[in-house]
Amino acid sequence: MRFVYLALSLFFSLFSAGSFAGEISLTDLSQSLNSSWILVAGVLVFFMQAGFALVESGMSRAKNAVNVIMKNYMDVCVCSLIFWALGYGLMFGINTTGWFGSSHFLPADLSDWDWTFLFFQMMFAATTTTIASGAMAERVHFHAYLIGACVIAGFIYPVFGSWAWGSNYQGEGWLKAMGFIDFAGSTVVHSIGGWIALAAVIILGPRLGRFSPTGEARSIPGHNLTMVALGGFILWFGWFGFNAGSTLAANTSLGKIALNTHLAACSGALGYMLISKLCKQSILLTGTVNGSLGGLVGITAGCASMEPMFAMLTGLIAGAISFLGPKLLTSFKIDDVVDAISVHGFCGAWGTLAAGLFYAGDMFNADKVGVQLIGIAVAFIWGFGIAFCSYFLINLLVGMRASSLHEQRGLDFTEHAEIGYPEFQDTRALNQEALNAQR
Amino acid sequence: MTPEQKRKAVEAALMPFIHGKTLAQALVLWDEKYAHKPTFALQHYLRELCSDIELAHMRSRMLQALVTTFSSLQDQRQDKPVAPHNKATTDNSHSSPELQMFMALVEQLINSAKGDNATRVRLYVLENIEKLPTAPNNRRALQSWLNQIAPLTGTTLNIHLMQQVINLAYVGLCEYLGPIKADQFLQDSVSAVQRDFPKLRVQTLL
Repeated sequence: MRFVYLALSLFFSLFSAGSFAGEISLTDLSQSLNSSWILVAGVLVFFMQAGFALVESGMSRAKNAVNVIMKNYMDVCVCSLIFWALGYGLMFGINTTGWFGSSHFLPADLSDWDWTFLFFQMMFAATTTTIASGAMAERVHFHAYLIGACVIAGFIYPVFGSWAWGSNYQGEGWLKAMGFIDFAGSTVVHSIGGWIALAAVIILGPRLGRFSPTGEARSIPGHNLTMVALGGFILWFGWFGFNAGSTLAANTSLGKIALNTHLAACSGALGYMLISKLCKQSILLTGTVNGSLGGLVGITAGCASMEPMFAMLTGLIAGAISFLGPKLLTSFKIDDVVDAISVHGFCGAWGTLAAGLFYAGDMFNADKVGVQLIGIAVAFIWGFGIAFCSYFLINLLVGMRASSLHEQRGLDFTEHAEIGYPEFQDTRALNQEALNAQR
Repeated sequence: MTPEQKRKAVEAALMPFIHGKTLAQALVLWDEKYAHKPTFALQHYLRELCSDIELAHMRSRMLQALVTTFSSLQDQRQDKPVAPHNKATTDNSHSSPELQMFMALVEQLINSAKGDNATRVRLYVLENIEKLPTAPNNRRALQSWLNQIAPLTGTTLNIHLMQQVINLAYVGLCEYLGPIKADQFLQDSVSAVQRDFPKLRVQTLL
């Protein structure tokens, strides 16, 4: 072991300006290792954006593929800037009240570790926003969507985050102080994203013809299931960084966290398949991918505090929820293109509860479960409530819903003057000048 | 359809839902206010007829019955050698080529739904044309044409209005047949109309 440390210290010394191998202490080395791991984990979480883009675009119709990708792409850009300027301070700044951070806005002078931490957390903020984008696909105006993304990354997400995870400096969020367990964000990231999505789709309404005049739901299949599967794999891959990176240290617990993450994803897909069979329904690729994503969302809260057997159980139940959730929402005529509300909102809530129920060494502790339930309820009230008000205002001020003419033409054409599949689609869009003149 | 045929159709369609005095009152309402109105007034008729709670829950089924009865009557009429409906929709001798292409596309789109659904889509377009921001004479001309009363000749419609009417047909198809079929029908209709108008670009109407 000592040899490994020596080799690593030699390696890092080569990249540390002004340092000599002999001067590096074990603390420095440990910090370097932690920083390196969190940086890699942050990059993995960033890569999840590609997974989201593929899943969401694949589940949309060809005429909206570019628009979906554009939303995901700009999510990262807009949310990263907003989170750096405002979100980080609100979420992790000095939190004397327990309700929000009040320092470190527009940070310019942080410690080396804090820069690493900020980079990692920035990716989480972008993930929360992206969750809502899939639900809103195929009928939301691009600019209205981006305004909503700013509100999420700059206010909704960091304020709730400050309650559950704050602060990084001084003080403590009130939920954290109560003992709320959400290791990597089943609630903080995923449920909040899911509830925001729910508010958005209620304001937006369903896509044209999604429900018949008699209320019967119609399926609108996505245009590329290969993309959906690839996106599912990429998300799964990135999730190892998401969960194991949340240790914020390169320590020996990483293996179990990664294992729990993987087992939950596997059993999530299996849970979906089992319940599909029980309900005598076809096993769909989209459903299977969502089942595994449900498992991943479910285990995110308790991946560091559960035994593998219970991680599997959590994933299995989350997979079943990812099957039942969309049916419940459909009965309320809620149109969620990628089932984000079920996968992230419902499975996130379940995972948070499971983290309390299956806490290793202290299972089924009523106090713990009670705190978890409070966290779940507060997340819903905050996430859904503020998002609903925000989207209501955005809708009032700039309009969120694309017109029926735009839905007919496809948002690639109307929002971006660019189409994903020119070989098969209306080539008029290739004439960008003509289209811009029409706008 | 003659007013007498229409009255019989209304009576036949409503009979499974209302009887005796209520049916008689419904027919009186029809005779007094709706007998001479175009087909798209069916929805208004039912709205007025079902204003009391006892009938309100049956309104959608009654509308379906009325639409089915009217469309079967129309089908019978189309089987006859001279069909005034066809004349109204295809007499394009005084229209510009763009207007002819527009009419062909709308008819193609609506009729691609077939049967009752075609009637429903037509009714949907007719009802929503009232909401389009356009000159009243344009609106009346479009309503008469779609209601198969008079052809759309000598009218000047701008491209934006044509696009909106086509969009209404598309939305109607989405409502009654679903978005997947609507997209397919739109694509098929565009191809079919493009074949008939090779010198024009149908895409400009979308």
